[in-house]
Parts: sequence; C-alpha cells; structure tokens
Amino acid sequence: MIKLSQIRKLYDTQEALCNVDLQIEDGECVVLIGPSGCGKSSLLKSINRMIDIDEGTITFFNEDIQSMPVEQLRRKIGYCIQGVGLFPHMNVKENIAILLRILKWKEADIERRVDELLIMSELPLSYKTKRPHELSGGEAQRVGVCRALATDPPVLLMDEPFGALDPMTREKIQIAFRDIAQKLHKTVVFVTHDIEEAILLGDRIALMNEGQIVQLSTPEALIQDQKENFTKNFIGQDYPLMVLKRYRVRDLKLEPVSNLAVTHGIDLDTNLKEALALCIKQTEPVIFKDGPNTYALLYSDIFSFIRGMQNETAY
Amino acid sequence: MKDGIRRGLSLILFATLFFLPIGFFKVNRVLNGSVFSLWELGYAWMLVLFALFSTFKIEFKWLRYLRTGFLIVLPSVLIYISQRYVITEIYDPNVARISLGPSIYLAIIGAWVLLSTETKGTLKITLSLLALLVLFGLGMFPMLGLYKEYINRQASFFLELQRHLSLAVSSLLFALIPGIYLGYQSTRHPRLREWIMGFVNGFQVAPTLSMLALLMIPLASLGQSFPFLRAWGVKGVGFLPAFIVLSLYALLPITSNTYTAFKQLDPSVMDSAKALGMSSKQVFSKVSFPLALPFIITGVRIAFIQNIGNTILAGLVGGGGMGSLIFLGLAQSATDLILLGSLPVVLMAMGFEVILEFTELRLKKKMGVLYDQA
Ligand SMILES: Nc1ncnc2c1ncn2[C@@H]1O[C@H](COP(=O)(O)OP(=O)(O)OP(=O)(O)O)[C@@H](O)[C@H]1O
Ligand SMILES: [Mg+2]
Repeated sequence: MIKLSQIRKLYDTQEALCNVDLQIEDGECVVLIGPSGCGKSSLLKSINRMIDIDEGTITFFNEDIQSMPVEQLRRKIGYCIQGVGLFPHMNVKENIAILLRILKWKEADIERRVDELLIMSELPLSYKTKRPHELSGGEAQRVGVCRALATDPPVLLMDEPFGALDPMTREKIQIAFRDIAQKLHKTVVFVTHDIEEAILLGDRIALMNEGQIVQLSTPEALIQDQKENFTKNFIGQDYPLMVLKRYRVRDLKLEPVSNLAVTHGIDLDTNLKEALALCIKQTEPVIFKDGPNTYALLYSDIFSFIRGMQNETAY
Repeated sequence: MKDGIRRGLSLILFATLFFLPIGFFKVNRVLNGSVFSLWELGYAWMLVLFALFSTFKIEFKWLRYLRTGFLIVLPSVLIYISQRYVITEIYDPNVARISLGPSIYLAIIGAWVLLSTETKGTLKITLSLLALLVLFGLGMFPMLGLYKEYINRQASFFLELQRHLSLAVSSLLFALIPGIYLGYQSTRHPRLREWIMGFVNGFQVAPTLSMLALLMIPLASLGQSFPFLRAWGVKGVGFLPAFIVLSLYALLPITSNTYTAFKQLDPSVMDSAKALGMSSKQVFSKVSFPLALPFIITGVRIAFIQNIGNTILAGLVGGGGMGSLIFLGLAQSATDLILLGSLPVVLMAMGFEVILEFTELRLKKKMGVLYDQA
C-alpha cells in the first residue's frame, strides 16, 4: 500500500502539486489523467523519490519513504519514464537485463526472463541484439516497459508507456498488461492522456488539474458522479460508452441457448462496446458461439447490465 | 570539395613547376643559394607533362592503376631529379647542397590532392609519404640540404624525436586525471564550474612563452635554495618547466570536453538509470562514464595534438625535443635544419590526428552516440 498525504511540490516558486492525498491499495491500478502540465509526472516521481516533495509524507507499505535507503525503495518499484530513456550504448537485451546483471542473476535465467518479457510485449526475439536507435518509438517504449518489469517489482509506476503505439498494438498490449498486473497482483500507478486507456486499465481514475486531484472514482462511478465542471468537460459526453470497453460479453452472464443458427463471429471475450455496436446495427438478437455453447445477445441485456453496473458502489 | 575542382587545383599546382623555382643551390649550409628552374634539369620537363596529363579524367582501368602508381612515386621522383642540377660553380661537394624550392612543395601537394580523388585516397597518400620517408632514410637524396643536416646529427635527431614524444605524452598523461576530474566536478557543482573553467582558461590565454618565463623564476630559486630538489631536476631550465607548462596547457581541452561530455548526457537516460535503483557508483560506471567516454577522448586528442606542437617551445628552455633543432637552425639561419626540426612535428601531429580520430569514431559508433553518421 502506498499512501500519500498532503503532498506539496514546488519547482522554485511554481506549485506543481498541492494538497494531494492518495491511497493506493495493494494490487490496485490507479490511473492519473489530466491536461498537460497538471502534475501527473511529478506525482509519479515523488513516489520513487526521483523528486523530493516539499511538504507531506509518503509511506510505502507503512514505511516513510524518506527513511528508506533510496536504492532499496527504487528496486521495489518498476518505473517507465516518460522519455523512455533506453541506454544507447547497450542492445535491447542488455537494456532489459541491466538490473538482473547487477543482481547477479544466472545467464540462463536472464535469457529466459528477457524472452518472456519480449513475448509479452509482442516484440520479436530477434530484437535482443538491436540497438535503441534501431527501434521505432513504440518499440522503444515497449522495451522500456520490459526493463521496468524485469525484476518483477511489486509496484509499477508507468508514465505514458504506450503513447507512441498504433491503436491495434496499443489495445493488445494494454490488455496483456492489465491481465499480467492483475494476475501477479501488481500495485500500479499509471499516467495517461487517453481517457479510454484510463478506463480500460484503471481500478480507479484520479483526475488531476493544476496540481490537485480533482476527482477520484472508479470508472463506473464517474458516469453519474461528475463533481466538477472540469470533470464533465474533460471526460466528454461519450464517456459512458467508453466504459463499456472494460467489460466483456462474458460479464453479462448469458445462459446458453440451443437450436439457433450462429449469426456473428464474436465470442465471450468480445468487449461490450463492440457488442453494443453490433446490437445497434440490427433488430434480431446476435447469435454467437463460444466453445461448445451457443448464446443469444440482445440490446436489452447490455442495457440492464449498464444499469446494474452504475449501482456498484465506488471506493 | 568536388573531384573536378580538386583535379583543376592539382593541374595548377603541377604547372607551377614550369615557372616557380625548383630549388636553390648553396655552396654551404648558411649562404643564400642560387635559384634554378625545371629547364636546368635535362628532360625532367617531360615528367611534368605526364603529371599534367594525369589530372584529366581517365576512363580505362589499367590507365588508372598506372596513374595511381605514378602519383604515389611522383613526390620522391621530383625530389630525386632535383639533385640532377648541373653545377657549374666551384664548390666543395661535402658542404654544397640543394634546398627544395616552392614549386616542388606545391607539386607534392598537387599529387596528394589528386590521390585524394581516388578510392582509398588517404591510404594512397600515406603510402606516397612513406615511400618518401623510406627513400630519405635509405640515403637516396644525398645532395639535399635536409639530408645533409640529418646525416650530420643523426644521433641527436632521434634522441630529440624521442624526447619530444616522451615530453608530449608524459605531460598529457599528467594532465589526464586532473583534467577529467575537474571536468566531471564542474558538471556536478555549477558554482565550482566557473572557478574551474576560469582557472583552466587562464593558462590558455597566457602565451606559452610567458608562462615558461614566469615558471623559470620560482623553479630556479627553489632549486637553488634546496639542493635535494635540484638533484631531482628542479631547475629553471630543462625538462621540468616545459613539462609543467605543457601539462597546464593540456588541461583545458580535457576539462572542457569532459564537462560537455557529461553535460550532454540525455536526462531521461540518467533518470531511468537512477530509477532502476542503481547506486551512484553503478550509474557512473555503467551508464554515464561509458556514454561520456568518446567525448572525453576527443578532448584528449585535441590536447595531444596541441601538445605535440607546443613541445617545440621546450627547446627554448633546454627541455629538448625538436624545438632544440629548430631554434639552433634559427640561430644559425640554417633553413634546412629548421625544416629538419619542424617537418617531423607536422607529420607526427597529422599522423596522430588521423589515427586518433579514427579510433574515436569507432568508439562513438559503438556507444551509440553517433548513429546518424553510422
Ligand atoms: N524540473 C522542473 N523544473 C521546473 N518546473 C518543472 C519541472 N518539472 C516539471 N515542472 C513543471 O511542473 C508542472 C507539472 O509538470 P509535470 O511534468 O508533472 O506535468 P505532467 O502532468 O506530467 O504533464 P505531461 O502530461 O505534459 O507530461 C509543469 O507546469 C511543469 O512546467
Ligand atoms: Mg508527464
């Protein structure tokens, strides 16, 4: 658990963070979102002490980070810096493995770990010998993520790690990242500009403006509960539709049906936004197969699911 | 430079052989000589015609090979035939000599400019230069004033060459660690930086000669008051003052290049190294120093080349080196002796420049700091 209380950060006289309170539970992913210059990166950097705060305290699993040896703190935290910052004199493998080498891992273990990470981030294994300047922006970002994940730290700080990816790869990586983080019970603080990314990854979304957290809610609660005008404007009118992306047809808990001809090639893992789009296009139910079972999906199924979703309590 | 321009330039340089002096005949080493021209060398003008033709564009492969060979030996041949000047005066063959005139120097440059238009030009020029040096060493230019001076003091020539190099290298090595240290410290302490840079710049601004003079006084008095220091070589003249001045001079390029080397490091690279939980020692040895190294080496290269030239001044205070030949030559107005002292310095400076720059480029590519040109 990471707990920030009454954080204040000044750069000279300019206030980058003020009165920030935030508690991040174990295994939770909090997404920081807000306009450029609102203090997202500063908040992230204060957690691994890349910057030191001027007021307030931060505790890391009940220990004040100021009293911990800084290297020890940082080794428990994987950090993807906004500028990627790969080491130009090392190839991809050496970049990912630098800390493993320092920690004196065996060469075979290093090899295995690097392969594992590259596969996860959809990069070919042949890239291991490439130099950072031979990578595209999106590839470099993914190598940066691999480097941060290499030692399997319990906490991850990600500063716009997928910003340079094309939408297709982006969504694949986002889902892979979310699944891994959930499976390994990682505590994540994730910075993004992209509201869809925030919805997809965040257990909670922290909306920031001018150095403050304006609103902190689950993505679902944010549909109804928009405390400030700023929130309304920032998340946009189509926000509720985007929230559907968090869910899959599986979450509707449909009962299998029989004796119906399949009409569509979706399955239980299709996200609800896509499923809704299909339902809008036609009046008949969408009939699809997943494994041995056949299912029928109606517009009303999704509609009632949305109703129920909003009644879930926020943190 | 475009190849066409270079060919034109060599054409002009070769043409000077027709109307500028080829050399001077001197009855002894100091008296002014009498000028002679190409026409006094028998059929040598035919060689010059060849040279002029070789500047034209050549399509045939075997003709091009022929030209390359011709251009490589041309400097040696030109010097060799300049010795064929038919002497009519009464003279003593042991002291009479020939000095090279401006047109020969220009024509040699012409040959090398022309070689530079070919593939592997630098290699071919080096070959041509080596041929010249080897023939010189083998005694193929016995009439040349330069050779006569060389033969007369062969032993001291090599001794001074060796002293020159060891003075240049040792003073550089002495400045190396302090220079890098000062440069590194000025990146870490901005306030200290102005002091350090001011201090280091100070030496550069003061003329080398006045620095030498200023040092002589305290060193001389130190040596006089403490006999044991004198026994160690602390004197107003000799090796020590030259060594100190050269070291101080070498400091600036090393310090300022080290400073920029560390300053230009990408902050996001440094931050990600720190954020991984590397200790500051690990960040230094694994990231910042390797990335700064190529630029530090640039500084060392500049300091070394500069040192090779500056070491000439050691000759003034009895520190040895090629300077002692040059200043002796100046004192005796023996131009060939001056040449004998200065040509090796020029050659050394150019040679080391080429070698060091090449290594540096390789290193920069390896460190991934120069991928644009890779
Ligand atoms: N090192 C610094 N020195 C001075 N001011 C800084 C420094 N770093 C950030 N700031 C200022 O602090 C404010 C917050 O910066 P921060 O980097 O946290 O913004 P951000 O929300 O991450 O923006 P972006 O979305 O563009 O990355 C900005 O106004 C910025 O100008
Ligand atoms: Mg930022």
